[in-house]
Amino acid sequence: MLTDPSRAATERDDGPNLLEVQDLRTYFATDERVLRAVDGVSLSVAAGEIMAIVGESGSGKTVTGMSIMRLLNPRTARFEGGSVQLRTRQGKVVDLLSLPEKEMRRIRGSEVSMIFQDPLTSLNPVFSIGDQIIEGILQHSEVSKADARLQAADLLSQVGLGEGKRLLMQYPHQLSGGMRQRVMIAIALSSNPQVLIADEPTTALDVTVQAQIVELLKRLARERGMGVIFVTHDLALVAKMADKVCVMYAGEVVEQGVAMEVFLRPQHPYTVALVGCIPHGPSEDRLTPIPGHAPDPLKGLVGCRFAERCQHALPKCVQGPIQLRAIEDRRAVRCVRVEELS
Amino acid sequence: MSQEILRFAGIKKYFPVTKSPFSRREEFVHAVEALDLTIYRGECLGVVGESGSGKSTLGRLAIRLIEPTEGEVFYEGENISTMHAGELRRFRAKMQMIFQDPYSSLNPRMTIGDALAEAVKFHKIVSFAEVEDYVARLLSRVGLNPDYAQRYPRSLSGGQRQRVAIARALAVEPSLIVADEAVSALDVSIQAEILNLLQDIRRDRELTLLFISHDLSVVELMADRVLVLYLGRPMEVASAEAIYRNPRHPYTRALLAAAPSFEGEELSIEGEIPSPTSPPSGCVFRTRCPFAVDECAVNVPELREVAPGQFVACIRTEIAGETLSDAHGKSGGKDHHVELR
Amino acid sequence: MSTTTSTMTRQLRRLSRQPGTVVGLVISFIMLLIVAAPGLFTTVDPNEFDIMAVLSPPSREHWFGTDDVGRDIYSRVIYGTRVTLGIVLGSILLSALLGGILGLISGFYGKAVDMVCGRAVDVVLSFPPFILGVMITGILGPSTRNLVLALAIIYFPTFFRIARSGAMTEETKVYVEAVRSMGYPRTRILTRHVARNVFPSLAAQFMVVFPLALQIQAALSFLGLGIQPPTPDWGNILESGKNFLLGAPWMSFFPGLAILLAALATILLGRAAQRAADNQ
Repeated sequence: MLTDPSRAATERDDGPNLLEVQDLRTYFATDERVLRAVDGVSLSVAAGEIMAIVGESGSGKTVTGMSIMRLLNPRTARFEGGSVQLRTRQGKVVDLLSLPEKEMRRIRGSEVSMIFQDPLTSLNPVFSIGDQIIEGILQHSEVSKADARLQAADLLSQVGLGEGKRLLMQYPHQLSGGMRQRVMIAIALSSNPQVLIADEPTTALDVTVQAQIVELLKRLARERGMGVIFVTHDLALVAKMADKVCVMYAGEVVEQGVAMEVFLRPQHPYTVALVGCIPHGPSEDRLTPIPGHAPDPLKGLVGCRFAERCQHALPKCVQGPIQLRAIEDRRAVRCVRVEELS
Repeated sequence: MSQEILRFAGIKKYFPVTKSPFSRREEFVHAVEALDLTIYRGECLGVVGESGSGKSTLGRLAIRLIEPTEGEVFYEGENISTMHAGELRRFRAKMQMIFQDPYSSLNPRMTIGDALAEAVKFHKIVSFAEVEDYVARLLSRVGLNPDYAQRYPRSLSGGQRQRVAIARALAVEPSLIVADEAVSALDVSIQAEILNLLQDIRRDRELTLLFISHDLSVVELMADRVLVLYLGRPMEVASAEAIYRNPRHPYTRALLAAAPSFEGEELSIEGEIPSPTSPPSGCVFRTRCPFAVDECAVNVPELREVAPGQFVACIRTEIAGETLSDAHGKSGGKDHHVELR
Repeated sequence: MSTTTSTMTRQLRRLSRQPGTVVGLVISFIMLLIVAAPGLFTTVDPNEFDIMAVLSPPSREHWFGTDDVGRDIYSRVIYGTRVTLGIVLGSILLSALLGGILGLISGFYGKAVDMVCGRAVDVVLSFPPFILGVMITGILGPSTRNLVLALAIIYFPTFFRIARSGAMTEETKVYVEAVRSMGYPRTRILTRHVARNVFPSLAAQFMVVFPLALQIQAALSFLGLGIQPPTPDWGNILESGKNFLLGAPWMSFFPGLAILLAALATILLGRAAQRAADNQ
């Protein structure tokens, strides 16, 4: 696997990386113009590790997850270079972007699984929970239906839905949001994936349920040696539950590092501004919103994409492409002025 | 002594649940259960709760957008629950609401300017000749270019639409604004802008704000006093400072423990919210409460003042000193991580 | 300035990728022009007999040939455009107006109003459209007025239902809740807020119904229950040729073609409008 400063900054000392995304570029073709949804994203996830991708809407965080799973419409989305290297259960390393669809289908849902934000629409309302989990199991293994049923019940208890057997016969609408999300996780786990991608899994849930789901994911990652990519807009949540974080803005990673560290000591002006927007303590103070708005994704920008909203911007910020640089052990920032500003 | 602006007296709201035509039993969702609450002029009362808490229903009951099943609402001392449409109309301008979803709270086929002008004209806020200027000033006040009056909602971003919603609320010169999850659908950076705007407006117009949200950190920023709701019942009412620094009700503590932005006890409570059609007897939180004892199932606990200005609906007020982890230790310990910071 | 030209060129380019829309637009434009100024297209009197040229095939003098009494088919079709399109347009507009208004009221206010209207509509819907048309014109007598009435009644239910379900859907939306909290009376909410949001579906339905109504109208005239001769109308011109299909097929062919083109144009434009609305 390749080495590159941003990844060296965050690689764990123990265990190999299960997933290495290298310079991922996902572009969408519209009438005449190109939408660069993901423009050069690199990250890695090791066994048992939770890597968070944080960004606001339009940052490209969801498209990143979808790209790894190759769930995008090949007619409109294309990958312009880069690779997504997965270490399979057998220990082989494959580039997911270059696999033919048939091979990818074997990987998808098996070696790499994904759960989404709204479990109500992710689950089929006309099939029972049991049917849906069993279908997932049968897709990727050669067991009998009876065995699959036992596995399903076991999976449900692993995700904290104790009375697994009874639940198998219920339908999605009979369950609460938190329970449905646990079912989604059970389905995603049924193939014992190397990597789980969770796209805003708790955004639609109550905060107490969110806490439970997050605990569950942490435990599962640890116990199974599974890598988790957690996509969210909530930086505070990430600080509490993730090991590493990539902060995305306008299709690029602007900061990368140990989650709690990035939250407590943000270095990139965008991350700093983002943290400044989070209502923290009781204060008479106003929040400091970020002036302006995210750049038009259809316009190709030179240099730093945050420059037009950054109070520290200088002409050199928009002169040429800015690299993601390791500025200290386990932290990388995409900013030419980061040393001067800290 | 602060003046009362809105008062709930014994407010209850049950929604009928349509069951199959074969079942004879009529079921109701107990959205709000016998609430007495006073909101004082000029304050910002935060209402926090999770789904099923009844907080949105409460907001709608406050301005009589929906009818209570029982109980009454008093606005500036007058009983608005018994008024007929005509009388109520003049009160409508005094109490306005900002809704959660900026994408559906504006009429998609009406220009911003028309929508605002209509409200102004209907309530005769200014003379006909001044309406256009007034609308332009409103838009400026909420940080939008007055040219936006010609635009349709679809050409505006979520944050901009929410500004329009605020402008609409302000257009009729209300004294009370109910913000029902007004920033929940917005990105964090936009949220910050809108919250600042609300604070500014509240200050320069001396408005009373009923701020409903599931996001504890946002409520902490905005509110003077906080009401914590669970399954339609009040758990705790106290000043924002008290709630966040020294929460007394187990549910409040669990909420704060679960919220990512807050340091403090770290514990996740078990289980899910019970069915709102058949809430638990006695204290509705007892099924998930780590401090629950048998007595909790007997009576519904009243809100009792445990500290000046701090009201808690819990019979076990002596547990304030106990940490949640101690409680779990006592009750035989469940499978949780317990870390105290 | 450059932005407007670039948007225009983009529109044109998009249009060029939709040949159907272009065809629809061209046909509609020509037909509307014919309706507005038939004199531009022919100088021949549609009712003038020319006994010398009875049943003559299309020629340079008579582009569409002549009928059994020597009248010029071409000019009859031209003048018939105004009659046919006028009737159909008029009756469907009437239908849409009545159906739309009653449907909105029914859907928005519900209860008693809804029950009464709903039942009335069900009665109408229980008859196949064509049979209904025959019944009405048969009982009331064939005349222009009754033809318009028949068409309006036939299509009333479909507009009613669309307006009704539209009103019911809009009523649950947040912006309606917002204006209720403004204190607006229900009537104002319906007329000034909900109606405009239901209008697009009614307009779409209009485009769907128009070609259907055109065919029914032609069929009724064909049966002699519609426009009475000698006033030319595509349906009755077609009817007059039915006994001469083998000998003089052009008598029925050209009015039939006109009906086809008008229906086609409406369908094409309807689809284009739907696509445009979806893109928004």
